[in-house]
Amino acid sequence: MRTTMAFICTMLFAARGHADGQVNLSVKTDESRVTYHIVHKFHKVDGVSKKVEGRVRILPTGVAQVAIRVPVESFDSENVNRDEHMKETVEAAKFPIVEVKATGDGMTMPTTFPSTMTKNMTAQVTFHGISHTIEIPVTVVFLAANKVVATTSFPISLDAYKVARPSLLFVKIDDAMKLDASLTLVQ
Amino acid sequence: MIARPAFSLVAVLLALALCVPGRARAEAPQATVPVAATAPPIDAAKPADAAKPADKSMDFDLFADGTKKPASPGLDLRLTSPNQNPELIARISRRRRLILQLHQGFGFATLIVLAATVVVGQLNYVDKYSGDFTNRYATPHEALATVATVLFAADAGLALFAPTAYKKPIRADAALVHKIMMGVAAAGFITEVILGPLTAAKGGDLNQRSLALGHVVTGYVTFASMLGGYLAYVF
Repeated sequence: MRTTMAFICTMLFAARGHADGQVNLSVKTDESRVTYHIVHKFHKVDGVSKKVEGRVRILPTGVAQVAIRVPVESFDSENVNRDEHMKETVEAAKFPIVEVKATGDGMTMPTTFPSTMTKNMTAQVTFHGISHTIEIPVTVVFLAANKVVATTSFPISLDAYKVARPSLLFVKIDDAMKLDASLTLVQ
Repeated sequence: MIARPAFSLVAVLLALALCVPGRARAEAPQATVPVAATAPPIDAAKPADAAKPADKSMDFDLFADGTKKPASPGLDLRLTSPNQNPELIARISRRRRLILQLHQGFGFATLIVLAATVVVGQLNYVDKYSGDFTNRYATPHEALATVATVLFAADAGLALFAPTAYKKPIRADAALVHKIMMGVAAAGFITEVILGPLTAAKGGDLNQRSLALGHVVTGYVTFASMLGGYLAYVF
């Protein structure tokens, strides 16, 4: 009888969590990264940050709320002078964080794992003290009920964020900067 | 007899569980949801369009710390020094950028003049030891060498004395290769400044040709180092 009662109680609370609960996920920093890609006439540069912090909340309504932030200083392009130049141009002292807040609806947990879902989300990208709202494609791979990998890739305009584009040999880098993110989320 | 109180307890738990407002959980974003309760966590029956407009706005703070400081340990946001304010760093950055623009210009000019110095120096060597001994390349070579040396010294000064706004750790990268190559080039310039006049002053001596050859080789090494440092940085 005690076993039955315990089982009933467990199922009861589990069912309640399913019915009106929300899911909170956090970025697993050591398995996540954000990369920027810039193009110069002479070469292409990738800068990687592994100091990604983020949270995701999936509301009972199916709306997902995402907040990701990365310290500007943490991007590494494998050239300290170039990284220093990047910090100057994006005024890292004044605007130390790149932040992305996004929402998307229709987020449903699959019944089988792994499972992949592709969604468009509305994202507010705050960079260099300026925020712009854009649509970004997000691919979500549900590895397990408590582990998700989300990836996205989208371009932004440096001019739109009033970043004085850095130059090498008096040639400026391209205006378009692509941002890639690969985030491992766990409960 | 035993089952009745048990069922009563279950009934009470059922009632309590269903009566606790779901909002209480929704207001606690940091709460950890047990894994068993999360498959599936979303009420799939509800269409996404039924979401409240407020849910889809950006007016939420998932970090809930009200600050811009990452909570994770080890994420040090400090820049050069906590005492330096952003305005001061911006001023230093602008000054640094201007100086480094000049550094690039001077560097490019130095490379071109040094290339010309090496070519004319080679012609001078051939003229002196294998040619007609007209000595017509000696003065242009000296002039070019002097300009190249002054440009290089000025360029090195710009690089060394440019203020630094943000920390630059030393590590094995293209910037370090650039610095090492330019260090070799600087040693080459110093050698040439000594070896050039010394070779010229040894006119008539038997070892002048050897010194001249050493001067030529050092010139090539200096140019190669500078070109290597340039290419390492650009590509």
